[in-house]
Amino acid sequence: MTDDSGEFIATLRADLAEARARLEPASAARDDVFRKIAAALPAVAGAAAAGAPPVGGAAAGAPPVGAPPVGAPPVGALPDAISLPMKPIAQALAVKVAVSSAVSIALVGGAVTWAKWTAPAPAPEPLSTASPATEVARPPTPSSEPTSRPEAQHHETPASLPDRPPAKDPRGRPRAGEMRPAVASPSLDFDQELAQLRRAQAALRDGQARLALALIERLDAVGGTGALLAERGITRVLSLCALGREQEALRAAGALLERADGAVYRSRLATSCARELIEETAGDESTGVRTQSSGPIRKEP
Amino acid sequence: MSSALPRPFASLPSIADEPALSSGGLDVQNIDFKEFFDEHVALVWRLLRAMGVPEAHVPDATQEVFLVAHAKLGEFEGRSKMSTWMYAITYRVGANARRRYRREARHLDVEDLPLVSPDAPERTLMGKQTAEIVLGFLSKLEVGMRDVFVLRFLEERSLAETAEVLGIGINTVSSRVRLLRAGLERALSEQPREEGP
Repeated sequence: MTDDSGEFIATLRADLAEARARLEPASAARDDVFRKIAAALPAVAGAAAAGAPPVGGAAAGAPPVGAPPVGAPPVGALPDAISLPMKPIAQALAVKVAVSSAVSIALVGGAVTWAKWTAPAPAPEPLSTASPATEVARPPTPSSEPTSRPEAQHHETPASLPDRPPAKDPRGRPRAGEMRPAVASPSLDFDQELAQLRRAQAALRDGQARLALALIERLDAVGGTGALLAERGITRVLSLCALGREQEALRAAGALLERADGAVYRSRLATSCARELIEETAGDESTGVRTQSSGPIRKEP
Repeated sequence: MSSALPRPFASLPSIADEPALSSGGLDVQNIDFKEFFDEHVALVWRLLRAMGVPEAHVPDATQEVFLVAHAKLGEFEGRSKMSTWMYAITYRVGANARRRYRREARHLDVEDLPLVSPDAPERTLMGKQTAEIVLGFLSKLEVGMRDVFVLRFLEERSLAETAEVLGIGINTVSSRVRLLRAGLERALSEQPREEGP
């Protein structure tokens, strides 16, 4: 089988790498997913021990395995992000403890895992103020969930958002964890800012404009690198449009267009509730007048 | 078996020295799953995104991929590359997610894709444009062609590996690749290379 596409692909290699990079997750998103996986693995063991089908077809009794080097700092945007150190020796001990008690294998395994994951976190969590040894003795909050539906489990871990009650959508369904406004750390790096922004965009697509706007406002309050201000601006405008707050959307659109990099979103604005502004500025530009408005553009009808 | 160990596990002597728990597979208890996750999460995430799984559901689908991988690691016999194995799992999970969320599935919105790095705003417009053309072209493909494009072009997998992951014949892959190449070349030649402010 000849493959003459290889040479063509080779000529695009740098561009393909760029395209791939644009599809990859921010580090905060990676950490968020791994936290959920780590939380789900003891749940899988617990569900299997109870005779329930394991999450994602996982093997019965499969223990949680491995973790980053001890002391690795949490990277996620959440201040309560847990680092995930797990020493192999400690893990082996945990397995022995779990095996020694067939009845409590799920609880103990989950507790040991949970304690090891949460203990070295720099910022102590509200849910785990006890020492790791103490934590093993009591059933931890996360391991009380293994028998719930897998979809509900892996959307949110208790450790990720301890300071808010479980969010529900208007139909009372638990929402995905990434849809909720996260507690922003005092100074966000680019990856964290990007993760928050993507959450806002996802919320907007999910029809949760109020949540999207809240995430953007939280970003505004915290600051960040400022590298994504235009993206923040367009998300704000679209959120306000979705909420029917057209005057505020117009103001936000005006502020966005004042930015040098805001012009790339003109086409998007032209299809939003702020399209009148685009038409106005197009008119201004055609006469050589540069729009610098930042106040209200139009009065409410 | 040690010579066939995939890269994530090559540094784990216990895997090479001790017999696997499940016959022919890897000893999952000795695998550093965080290392495994770090090694593959970018691949999984971007494949799901490129396949057309709605962005809001990519984290959940990624989680599902790794839970399946965790459960199946004991069955991995090293007969294919670990990356191929992960592509196959991701493809199956992604295809299911794509069906599940078909109602809300939408084309990749290039404008929504984030910048790659804060240090690269001055990256050449040409490079950004070509990447966007590639992603734009991808977003317009129907599922069968799209999956081939993702693996052969975006992920630069071989014809054989693409066929193996997708579970289709290599001749089918080859003919689709020819069509895709012609289409992409046309898209690249038709798109304006510079954009006004």
